[in-house]
Amino acid sequence: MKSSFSGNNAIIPTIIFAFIIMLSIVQLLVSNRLSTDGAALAQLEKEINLYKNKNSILEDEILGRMSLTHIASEAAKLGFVKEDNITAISPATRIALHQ
Amino acid sequence: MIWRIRLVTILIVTFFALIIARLFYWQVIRGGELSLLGKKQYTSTSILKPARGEIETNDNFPLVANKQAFLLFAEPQKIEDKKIVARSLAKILEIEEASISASLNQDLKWVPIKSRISMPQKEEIEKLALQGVGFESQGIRSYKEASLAAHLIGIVASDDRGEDKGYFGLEGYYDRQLRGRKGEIREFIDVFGKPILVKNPFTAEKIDGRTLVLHIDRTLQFIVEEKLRQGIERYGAKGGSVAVMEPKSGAILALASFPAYDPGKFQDYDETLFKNPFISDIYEPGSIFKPLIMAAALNEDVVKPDTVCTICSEPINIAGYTIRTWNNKYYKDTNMIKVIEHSDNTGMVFVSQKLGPKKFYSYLSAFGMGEPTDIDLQEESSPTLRNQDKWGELDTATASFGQGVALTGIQMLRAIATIANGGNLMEPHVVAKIIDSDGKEIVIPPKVIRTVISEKTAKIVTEMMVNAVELGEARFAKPKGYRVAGKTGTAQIPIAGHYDPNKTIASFVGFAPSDEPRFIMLVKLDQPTSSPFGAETAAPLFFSIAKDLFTYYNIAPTD
Repeated sequence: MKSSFSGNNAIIPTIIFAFIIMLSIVQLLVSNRLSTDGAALAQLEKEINLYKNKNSILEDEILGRMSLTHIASEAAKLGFVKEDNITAISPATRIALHQ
Repeated sequence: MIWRIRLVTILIVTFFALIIARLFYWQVIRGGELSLLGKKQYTSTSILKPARGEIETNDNFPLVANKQAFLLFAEPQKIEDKKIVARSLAKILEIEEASISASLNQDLKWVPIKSRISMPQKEEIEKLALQGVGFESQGIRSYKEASLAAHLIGIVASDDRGEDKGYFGLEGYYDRQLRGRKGEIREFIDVFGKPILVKNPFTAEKIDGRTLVLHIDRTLQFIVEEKLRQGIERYGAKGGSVAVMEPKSGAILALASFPAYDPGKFQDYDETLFKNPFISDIYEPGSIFKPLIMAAALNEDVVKPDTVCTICSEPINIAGYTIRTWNNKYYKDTNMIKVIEHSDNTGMVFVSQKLGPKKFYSYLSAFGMGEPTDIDLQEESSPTLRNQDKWGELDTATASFGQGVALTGIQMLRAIATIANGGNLMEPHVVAKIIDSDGKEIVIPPKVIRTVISEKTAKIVTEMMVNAVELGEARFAKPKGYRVAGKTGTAQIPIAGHYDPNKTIASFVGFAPSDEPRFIMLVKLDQPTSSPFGAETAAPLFFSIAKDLFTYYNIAPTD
């Protein structure tokens, strides 16, 4: 009786076995790579949050300076006063004479 | 010999049976529990908190925005020297060391120490590298214009679940739009807590809150608040309100009330201050109500502007009560124009008698009495209008000059606006549009509730009100060259079944320019002490604000 693993019949199981070993090695390499990606991702997230916080602080400061309350206070410090006497110029009013 | 083989076989089988039984116990019976324990170790669930929507004025300036803050927490079981940690934190946070110690000494895995810590404080604490101490991100509201428009904005506080919730004003009314929706991310983590990218993590997207863009003009609001504050001080009033509205659309351009509070520090104020008095306080309006009854009578054609009053030469007796004018002056053969000019109570009784009780009542309803305005602010009140069968002759008579009928400031403003805009009762609105997190805009259009009077009637009453300003008690305060339609009001305050002889609510309502009104404004001063009369307190304040509005809107004098 011939052995089922003799001659050409032995090639197919060998190929399958080799393929399985190769896939296992690839999985090992990928997992190894991924295990450190998580640390890099965490670091990136930390940096993003840091910049988000800084932006938030700057935005808060900008809005503070844009507020009317702040502008009115600064204007008062600089000596600006409100003008109550406003003259409206109508078309009938002569502004200058052409001579 | 055979018994030894059998014995060994039995032992081996028993041994394997025990292993299988144990495996069955751990994998099947306790399998679920262990699987969960395992998931806790290698998965991490993070809640993604949405940012609460901003509230912006019409120039897109964020009146209310969000600021980064932090909740400081401790894990007492991980802290070795609790005394040092408490001392270090107390110094930076400026709170009692004893209160921090008390928290750290609790037999708990996690305790909050202090919320709303600023970034600089967080960085200072992080430098200490204290073990067992951490931070959770928190968003808090930021008010760049301090207490400007406090009553309009409302407050954000924690509900019974510890979640942020809006109360009063816009924060309360639009809470669901502003709060957004939480997201969730579930991912695999390694032993150091770092994410492992082996599978797609489960994510539920967070949806940030929507932004409200208001009709409120920031400059106008600033002017109104400053003037109102000065007016309350000058006239010795207990408080006051001013509202400015665009009569054609019902858009609220400014709304201020004092006393007010700082929404960023609302915990330091009495909660009675949080309600917006302009929409929640009920009062008897007094003479500013007269144009409405006059408009009703003119609309029904029961009187004309030159109709002569036949009962105005002396006080009127109705049901045992005597109705007098505010200054005890009586004008024989006065006409309707003069009735408004002199703010003549007897003339208004004449008008109400001509109108009749049925029509009088129907116009009260038509002008919006007894129904809420549906303004988009939380805590609006609406006093009920008594059934018509409960109205006697005296009730109709007194209501004709604004006593014995109660309403809120916003109801009064909206009603007078029907005269300013040609006869339509509008729904007042603070919010112009809502913008979602994708940038999609939802515009809120103006809403006409109903047409109350004809355009012709509105024009006639407008001219009567212009005449009242030009020739009435408030004429000295009016800026020159402008046609302003307005009416003064001095309403007595009812206390325990009678009217207080000394206390009044002084008001002035008006719109300008009278031909094509840009704004309508109601000024209300609560119990002014320098003078009880609207003509001497609320009217000058109105015109002082109006003068600034004319400049701001580039409205040149026409006269």
